[in-house]
Amino acid sequence: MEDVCRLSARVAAGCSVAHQVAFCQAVENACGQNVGGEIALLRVALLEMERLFQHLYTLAALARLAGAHLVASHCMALREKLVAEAAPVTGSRLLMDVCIPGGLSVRETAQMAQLCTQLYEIGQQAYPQLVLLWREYPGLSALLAGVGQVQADDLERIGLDGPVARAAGWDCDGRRIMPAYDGLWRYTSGRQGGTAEDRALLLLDEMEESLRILDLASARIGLAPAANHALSVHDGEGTGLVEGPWGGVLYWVRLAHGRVAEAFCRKPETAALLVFEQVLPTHVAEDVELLACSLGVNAAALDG
Amino acid sequence: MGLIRAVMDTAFWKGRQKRKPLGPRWPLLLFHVDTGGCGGCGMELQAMTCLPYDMQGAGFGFVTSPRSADVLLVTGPLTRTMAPVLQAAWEAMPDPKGLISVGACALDGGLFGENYAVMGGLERRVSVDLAIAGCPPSPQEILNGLCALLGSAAQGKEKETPSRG
Repeated sequence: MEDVCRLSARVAAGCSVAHQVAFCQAVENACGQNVGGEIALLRVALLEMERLFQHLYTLAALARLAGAHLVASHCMALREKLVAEAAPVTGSRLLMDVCIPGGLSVRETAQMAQLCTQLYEIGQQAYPQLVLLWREYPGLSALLAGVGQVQADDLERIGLDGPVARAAGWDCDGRRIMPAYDGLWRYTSGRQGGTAEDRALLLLDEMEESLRILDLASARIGLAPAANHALSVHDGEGTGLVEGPWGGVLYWVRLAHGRVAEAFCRKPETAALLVFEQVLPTHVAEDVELLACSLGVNAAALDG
Repeated sequence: MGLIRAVMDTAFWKGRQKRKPLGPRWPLLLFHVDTGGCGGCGMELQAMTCLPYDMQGAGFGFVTSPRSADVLLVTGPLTRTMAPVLQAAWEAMPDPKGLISVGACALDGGLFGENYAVMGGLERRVSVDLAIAGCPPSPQEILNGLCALLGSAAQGKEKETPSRG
């Protein structure tokens, strides 16, 4: 069980927490056990940290590919500051191996609330400058506006959700149906043109939203004990679904004789590749890497 | 594009002489190939090129073509589809050249066991000049590892000097 959980953390490095939480939820559902509100809240905090780090990484890659190296440098510097703050508490820079079936395995669980506050303060201080730089950097918006326009209907047909779909006008967010997000997540309206520029601006909006969720979560964490549950593993099936940085991550598992007998993983990168192939013929060769990056095409996730 | 050219070179110009000028080169140029896995080591390499890590100041730089590289930097377990690409990149590099594995997967396969698609790590197949452990190693650990390689090279040079004299 532990090996499969560690493997789920390494399907795609930027979406490690999403895969771990979805897998753990699937195992817990198969066992018919609930981990409790505090653990669920801590998992939400980890999911939002990952979204924050990954969106900054994506924005840096987009800016670099668009030739805006100053913007890319700002994004990566802020990401590094946040990651360096989180790593001593979570035990992993890329938030790997922070979740186990029945609970969490972060290094300093007692400091998670303080970490959320620190990340919120660092993020809030740097965020306005980053948004201003992104919007006013010469030529960046114009270049991205001409790349990768997708339609919500096409995305729904192919099955690509997440920020790519939300930036095209398809209202889909797995956080809406996750009970742990009650009172934390709220629908945020944004640009819906479906271009790479709209997706980048949506990622910036979602960063602000993640910072707000971390701030709200910090006030709630610690109100209840966060003890890991010892799972009594039964034969059975279960599913788990969370909203990762690039869309919904779903796991189905079948447990037998105390082991994971079978598992299936649904991840957004598979559909992203199909959308990428559909949009590709209308683009010049110079924009291909930018297009792939803005749609969330990830070779690591595809071969995982 | 450089990698595609290298693959073509290997396929069609096998007898081609590749030599770089003798003497010290600065900075040490790295060519990165991600041969599979989760991509975490690649993300940490990318982080190493940015603030606050002074990679270029420490004497290292990334190149986009193996033909101008000194060292091949490998991350991830070796998959069967990427093995010819890695071979082509290695053969395209001019002598002298080195091989560095970054992360547990590149060295011994890590969590990814050998199967129909994955061949495992490099350690039992080729001679690795430097292995940087970790899953994934942090940017600072990677930079320290690279600096240790240069440090050991410098020490080796110092040891060699008396015998030459």
